[in-house]
Amino acid sequence: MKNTTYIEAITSALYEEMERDESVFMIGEDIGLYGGVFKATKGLQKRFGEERVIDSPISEAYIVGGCVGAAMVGMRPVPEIQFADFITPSMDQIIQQAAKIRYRSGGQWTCPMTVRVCCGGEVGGGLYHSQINEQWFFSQPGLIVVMPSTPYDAKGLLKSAIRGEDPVIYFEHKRLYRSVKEEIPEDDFTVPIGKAAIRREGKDITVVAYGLMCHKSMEAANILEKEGVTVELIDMRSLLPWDREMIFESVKKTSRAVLVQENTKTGGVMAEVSASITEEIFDYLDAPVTRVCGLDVPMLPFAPPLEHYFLPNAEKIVRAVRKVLEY
Amino acid sequence: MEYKVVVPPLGESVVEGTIVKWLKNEGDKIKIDDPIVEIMTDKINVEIPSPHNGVMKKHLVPPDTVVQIGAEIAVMEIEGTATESKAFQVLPDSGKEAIPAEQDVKEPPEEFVGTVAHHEQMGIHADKDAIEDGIKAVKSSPIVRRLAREHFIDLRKLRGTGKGGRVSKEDVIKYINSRHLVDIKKPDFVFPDAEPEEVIPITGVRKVIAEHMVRSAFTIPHVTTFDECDMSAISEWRKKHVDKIEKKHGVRVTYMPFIAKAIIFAAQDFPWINSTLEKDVLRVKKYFNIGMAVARDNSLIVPVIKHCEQKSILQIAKEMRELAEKANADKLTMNEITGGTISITNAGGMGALGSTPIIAHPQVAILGVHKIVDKPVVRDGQIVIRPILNFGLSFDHRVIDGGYAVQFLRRMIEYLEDPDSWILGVV
Amino acid sequence: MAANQTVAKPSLKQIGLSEDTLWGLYYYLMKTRLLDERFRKMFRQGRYAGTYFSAVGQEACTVGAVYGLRDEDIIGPSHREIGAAVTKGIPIKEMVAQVFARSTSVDKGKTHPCHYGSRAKGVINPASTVAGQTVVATGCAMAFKIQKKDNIAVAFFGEGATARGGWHEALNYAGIHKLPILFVCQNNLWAESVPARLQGAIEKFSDRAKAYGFPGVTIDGNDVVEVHKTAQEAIKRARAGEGPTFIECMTYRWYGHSEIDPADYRSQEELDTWKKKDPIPRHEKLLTDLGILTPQKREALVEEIDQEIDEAVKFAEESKYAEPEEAYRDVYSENFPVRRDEY
Repeated sequence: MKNTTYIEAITSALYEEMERDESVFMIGEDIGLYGGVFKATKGLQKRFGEERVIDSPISEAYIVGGCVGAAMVGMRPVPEIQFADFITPSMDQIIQQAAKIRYRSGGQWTCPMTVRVCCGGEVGGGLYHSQINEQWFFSQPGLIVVMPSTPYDAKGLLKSAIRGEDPVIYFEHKRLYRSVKEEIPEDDFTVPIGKAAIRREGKDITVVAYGLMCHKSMEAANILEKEGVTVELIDMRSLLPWDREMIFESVKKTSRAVLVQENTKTGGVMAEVSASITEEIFDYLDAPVTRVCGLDVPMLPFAPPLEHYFLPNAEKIVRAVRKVLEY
Repeated sequence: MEYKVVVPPLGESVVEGTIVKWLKNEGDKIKIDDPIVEIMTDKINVEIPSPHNGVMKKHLVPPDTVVQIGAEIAVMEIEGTATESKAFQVLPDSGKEAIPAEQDVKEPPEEFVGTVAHHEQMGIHADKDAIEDGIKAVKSSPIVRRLAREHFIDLRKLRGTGKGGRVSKEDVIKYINSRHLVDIKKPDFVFPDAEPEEVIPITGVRKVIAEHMVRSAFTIPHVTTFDECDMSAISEWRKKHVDKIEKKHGVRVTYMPFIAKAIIFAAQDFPWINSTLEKDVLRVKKYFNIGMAVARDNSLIVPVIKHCEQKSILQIAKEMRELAEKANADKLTMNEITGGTISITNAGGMGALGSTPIIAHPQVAILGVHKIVDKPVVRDGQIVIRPILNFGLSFDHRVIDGGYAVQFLRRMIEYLEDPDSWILGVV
Repeated sequence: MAANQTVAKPSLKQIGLSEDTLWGLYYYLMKTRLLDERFRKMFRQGRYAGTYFSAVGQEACTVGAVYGLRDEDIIGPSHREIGAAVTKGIPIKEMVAQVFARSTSVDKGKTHPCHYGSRAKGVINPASTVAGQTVVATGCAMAFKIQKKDNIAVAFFGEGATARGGWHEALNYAGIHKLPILFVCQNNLWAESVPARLQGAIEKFSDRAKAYGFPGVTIDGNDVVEVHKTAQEAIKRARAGEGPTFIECMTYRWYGHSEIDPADYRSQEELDTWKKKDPIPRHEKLLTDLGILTPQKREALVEEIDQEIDEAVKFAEESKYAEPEEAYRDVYSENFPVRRDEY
C-alpha cells in the first residue's frame, strides 16, 4: 500500500499501462517535456520517448480525431484535453467518429481510446478553466464516460479504460488532484466500468453524486448523522453506462433520493437519473427526487463569491436532504 | 435411550481440549455426576461429570485426541429420556460478533404478512374499493400507495406524521408491524426452537390439573371483571368468509382466534396483562403464548398456542384444532401445554353466560368467553337486537389494578367491535 | 478529340506504366462507372431507400490514386468515393447490400447508402461530417509511424472540405510529423451548390499544402494515368518517411450532389465541356492506341462486370433487412450490452 494523491494515481496508471503495453501512447498539449500543466504526465516523455508521449500543436480536433484513427489500426491512444473547456473543437471527432465508428461499421472498426479530460470547479478557474461538460458526452451512446472521486478509482478506472475496447471520456477533477490522498495497493488492480460504489451505508435517504460532489456529499452526511439522519451515499464513478441497479436498490430501500451534480442543472446527468428513478421505481418513492446542482448559468463565474454561489456544497446538500425528509 | 456425551464449554476463548483419559470404560455403569472423562485444555484439566444414570456404551475418540468444544466423544445408554444435547459451537473469538446483529431480527413468517397474495390464497377478496378510496382520500406518496395495496390498508385509518399530516412510508410500516407484531424489531426474548422434553405421554392429567388449580387459587388473589361485547361485525365477517375458508383450508375459524388477536392488540396499551409473576418479579412478555382451554371427557386441558402475535387467524385456528385433536387423543407434548403467557377459556360452548375462571399460574390473567346471545341493546336511541358476548376477565390483583384490567377489557372489546381496522392484516 | 490525334502514338515506355496496370486501371474505371450508373437507375426504380451520391465523371481520381495500394493501407473516404471502395477491393455484393441497407451489408443497414467501408480492405466506413475521415486517416498515419510500419493512409475529400477546421489541424499535424499520408482533393468545382471560389480565395487548393510544409500539386483528375503516376510518386515518398503530399485532382461530377439535386446552379455549357473530358473514353483511346483494348474485349468486360453486378443486386435484394434487435448491436464491445427499452 502506498499513500497516493489522486494525480499521482493517474500518473502511475499511465506509467504502468505504457510499460505494460507498447500500443499505449499519449498526445496532448504541454504533456511532454513540461509534464502537463498539472504534472499528470510528469516524467513520462523522458521514460517513453517523444513518439509515445507527444507534445501536440494546439489542435484538439486532431488530438482526438488522430487518436481515433490510431486506435482503429491497433494503438491504444490516451489523448489529453488540457481543460474540459477546450474540448469543443474535438466534439466532431468524439461524437461523429469515436462514438459511432463501431456502430456505423457494423463492429468492424473499433476505437479503444481513453480521452483524459481535466475538469471541474472550486479552483478559481472561472468561466474557461472550470467546466466539466460531462453531460454532452453522457447522452452519446457508443461512449463510456467515467469520473473517479478517489485515488483508488482514479487509477483503477484509468487502467480499465485503457485496457478496454471502447472510447472512454475519462474526467479527472482538478480540485481533487492534490486534495485527496489514500493508501492504494502497489500491485496491479482495476476498477470495473459501469459499477457505482456505496461510500456510506444508510437507511433514511440516498444521496447520489460523482467526482468532487462525492466529497461534498460526505461532508453533508457527516452533518446529518449528528441529527440522527443516516445517508446512503452512492458514488456513481461511471456515468455512461451508469449503475442503475445499485442506485435503484438503494432508493427502493430509503424511498428518498437527493442527486448532487456540480454542473448546471438542466439536461444534466442527474436529470436522467431522476427521470429513470421516477420511471422505473416510482412506487417506492416517499418524496420527490430532488437535485442539488450548479446554477443554470454558464459554468462558472469567476469572482470567488460568485463561484461559491454557483457550486453545490455540503450546506446546500444538507438543506435539500432535510427538505426531502420533511416532505 | 442413547445419550451422546459432548465436550462442554471449557471457558472463554477455549475452543478445544485433549482427552487425557477415559474414567469410565465401555460397559461401566455410571451414576449421575460420576466423572466420565478427563479433558485437558491450555488453561485447566477438568473431569467431565455425567448428567445421567446409565452405562458407557462406546468411546468415540481415544485418549490423546484433540477435540473441539461441542464434539461428540462417547455414547451412553441412559435411563428414561434425556436432554438431547445438540452439538454446539463456540466461536473462537466471541468478541464483537457475539453481539446480535440487526440481521438477527426475526421476520414474521412469510405467509403472515397480510399481503394481497396471502389473502387471495385464503380465498378472501377484500374490499379493494375501500383501499382505493383511501388512497384517493389521503395525500400519499407512491411507496405508501404501494404498501396500502399490498397490505390491504385503508389509509384513512392511519394518522400521518408527515408534513401537513401526510401519511409517510414509516407511518405505514409502523402500522403494518403493529397489526400483527409487538415490537418485532427488537425481541428481547427468543423462544427456544425445541424444548428439551420432546415427547412425554401425559398420564395422571387430573392430578396435574388439581395441583395447578390449588396453587393458582391459593396464591393468587383473583378478581373478575365483566364487560359485554357487540359481536355483530365479527359475526358478519365470519358469515361472509368462514365457509369459503373452510372449503379451501379445511378449518372452521371460530370466534376464538379473533379474540386472541384482540387480546394482543389491547395488550399493546396494557402490557402487564400478558405477563407472569414469579416470586418478586413480574415478567412482562413481549410475545403471546395463549393458552386455550379445551374440555375433554372428565377433564380440562389448556394447550398453548405459541407466538400468536406472529400467526394469522387461520394459523391460530388450525393450531387450535390440531391441539384439540391431540388433546382428545392424549398426545399433547409437554411443550404444547407449557409456556403460556395468558389464557382464554370458553365456557360458552356449554351455554354459560358468565364465569369467574381461575388463572393459570404464574400467568396473571385469564379471559372467560361465554355464549353469544341476541340481546336488545340501545343504539342511537333505538332498541335493536345484537349478538352480545359477556366476557369475564380474571386477573391477579397483586400486580394488576382493577382500573387497568377494566380498561384492558374495554380496549379489547373495542377491537372486536371494529375489526375493519385490523382484520385484513391478520386473517 | 480527332483534332488532337496529330500526336504520335505513345509507347508503354513513354507512359511509364505496365500493360497490366493500364488494364487494371481500365477495369476499375469501368467497374466503378457501371456500378454507379446501375445504382442511379435502381434509385429511380425505387429499389432502395434514402438517396444516392453519384461520382460519375470523377472515377479517375479515386481509381488512379487507390490502384496498387495494399490491404493494410488505409483509405479515409467521404461519401463520393465509390471508386476508392471498388478499387481497394470491397466486393460488389457488399457494396450493393450496403446501398440497399440489408443485413448482409457489413454495417447491417445502420448507416447511409454510399458509406462503404471494410476493415479487411482498409477502408474506413465514413461519417457524413465533411473532412472527418481526413482527420482520422491522419491518425492512422500517425499510428503507422509510431508502429514503424511502412503502411500509408490516403484521405479523400472535396475542395469544400478544405475550409474545415479539423482538416487544417490534420494537415498541419501531418506536416509537422512527416506522416505517411496522401491528401487527395477531388476539386469538382462545386461543393454541393457552392462554387469553389466561395470555399477559398486561392486559385489552386493545392497551395494550401505550402502552409503545412509539404508539397502540393494540381493535376488533371480525369486522366487516370496522370493521377496514378502522381499518387505512386507520393506513395513512394510516404512509405520512405518523407511525409505527406497534397494532390488536387481537377474533375467534375456529372450529376447533382445527390439524386434529388437537379444541379441547376451550374450551366449546361459547363457540364457539356466536362462531359467531353470523360475519363473513360480517354483511357480507352490510350489502350486502343496501345493495342491493349479492342471492341470485343470491351464488350466482354462490360458483360463480365454487368453479370457481377446482376448477381450482387440479386444477392442484395434477396437479403433481408436486419431484425430490430440489430439496432442494439455494435454500440459497445460485448462488455457493455445496451439496455433494452420496450414501448
